[in-house]
Amino acid sequence: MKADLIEKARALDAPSPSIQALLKLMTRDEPTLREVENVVKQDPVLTLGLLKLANSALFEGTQRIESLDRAIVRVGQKRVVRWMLAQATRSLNNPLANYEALGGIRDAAVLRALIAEKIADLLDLQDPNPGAFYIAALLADIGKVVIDKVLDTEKMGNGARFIDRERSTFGIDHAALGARVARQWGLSQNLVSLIRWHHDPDHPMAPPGARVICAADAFVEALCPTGIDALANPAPASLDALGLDEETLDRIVLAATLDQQEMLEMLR
Amino acid sequence: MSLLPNQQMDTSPVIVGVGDLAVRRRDLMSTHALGSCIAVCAWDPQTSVGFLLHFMLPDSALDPRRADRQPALFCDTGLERAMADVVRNGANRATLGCKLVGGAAVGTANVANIGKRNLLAARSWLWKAGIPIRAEEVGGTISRTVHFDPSSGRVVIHTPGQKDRTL
Repeated sequence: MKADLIEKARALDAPSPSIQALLKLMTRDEPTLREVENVVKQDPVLTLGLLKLANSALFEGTQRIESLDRAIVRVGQKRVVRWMLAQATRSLNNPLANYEALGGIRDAAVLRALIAEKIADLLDLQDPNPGAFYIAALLADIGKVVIDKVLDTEKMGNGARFIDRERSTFGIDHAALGARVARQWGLSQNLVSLIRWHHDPDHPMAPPGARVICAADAFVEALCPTGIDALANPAPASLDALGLDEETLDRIVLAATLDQQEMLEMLR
Repeated sequence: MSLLPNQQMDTSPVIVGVGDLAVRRRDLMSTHALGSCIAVCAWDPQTSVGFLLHFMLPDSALDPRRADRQPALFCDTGLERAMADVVRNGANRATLGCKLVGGAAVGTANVANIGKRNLLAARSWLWKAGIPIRAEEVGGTISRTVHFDPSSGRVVIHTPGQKDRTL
């Protein structure tokens, strides 16, 4: 079963060449305006989408924009990059019938990514890859897309964490499969590890940033628990070591849900 | 807010999103995938006017400007708005009752405590306002979808993989 799932993970649709180029850029530094423009230019769909976005009611200015560089400035460089990454793979939009996530996992992925980035900023966590927390949190559940193809809820049992039940049923869990997918897409080892350990941040091999992804995941579970594994992977007490008080947590949730509404509007 | 004409609208339930509020006479209302959020289902048995509030956070003091724009995000401003709207639409405040659903925990860390704080905020607000809580299904570690009939006060709770419950 494990070998079959690994084979299915290999067959998962990869990001477009332009998004792969963007991911590669982000492994060394936050891309410059010119670099972002060059990535967008490679892809007619992204080009049209960005111009449409810049002239939409969301960002409409006094003048109509026809050039990519001005579109990037109007929408905001960081926002453009996050928007492109959120479209990294169609797999996030596909319904997961067996997990009962019929609307796909993109909305939750975007919220988790925005929360993870806010927590990391707030704690001033440094990571070798700019945007690593956003990317890792966005793709953290991509392994579910693979498991969904073989998941039989009747056989999953009860009691243990759902991720442990995945492991005992299939020999591998969605985090490990997600890490494999991330590796085959050429993401950095750090990103691969963040995805791999996002439910087990206390594992000796987990990078310190895995706690951030795990905390962001807990928020998403709290705010929009969908699917048969909803609330079935409880956040460990060790997340308290992040030192976030209740008011700060509430502020993060509030800001991230607002940003999520904006991002989902941008993706429509 | 004005009520849609009864029996003239589509029979499918009114869907209430996160940080959202609906006030209806007799028409079914639903809200999906409650985790730490709370659904307050209130109804007046004499007029069949009721509301379903799905709030996300306990206290609007966190961001009063956002609360002005979207009062239903918070327990206090959401309940204030809901009470004003339901009374304006014909409900008698003295005969209102309510049921609470949600407030799940997500683990043992601080980040998991939003549900408990939401629940305390709702109980406290309703107690001060003199609105009796007729029933509740709160806490635990499950996701809940709520269907509410304001003509009877009946609440049906659905959790994936479990039998539906009725309050």
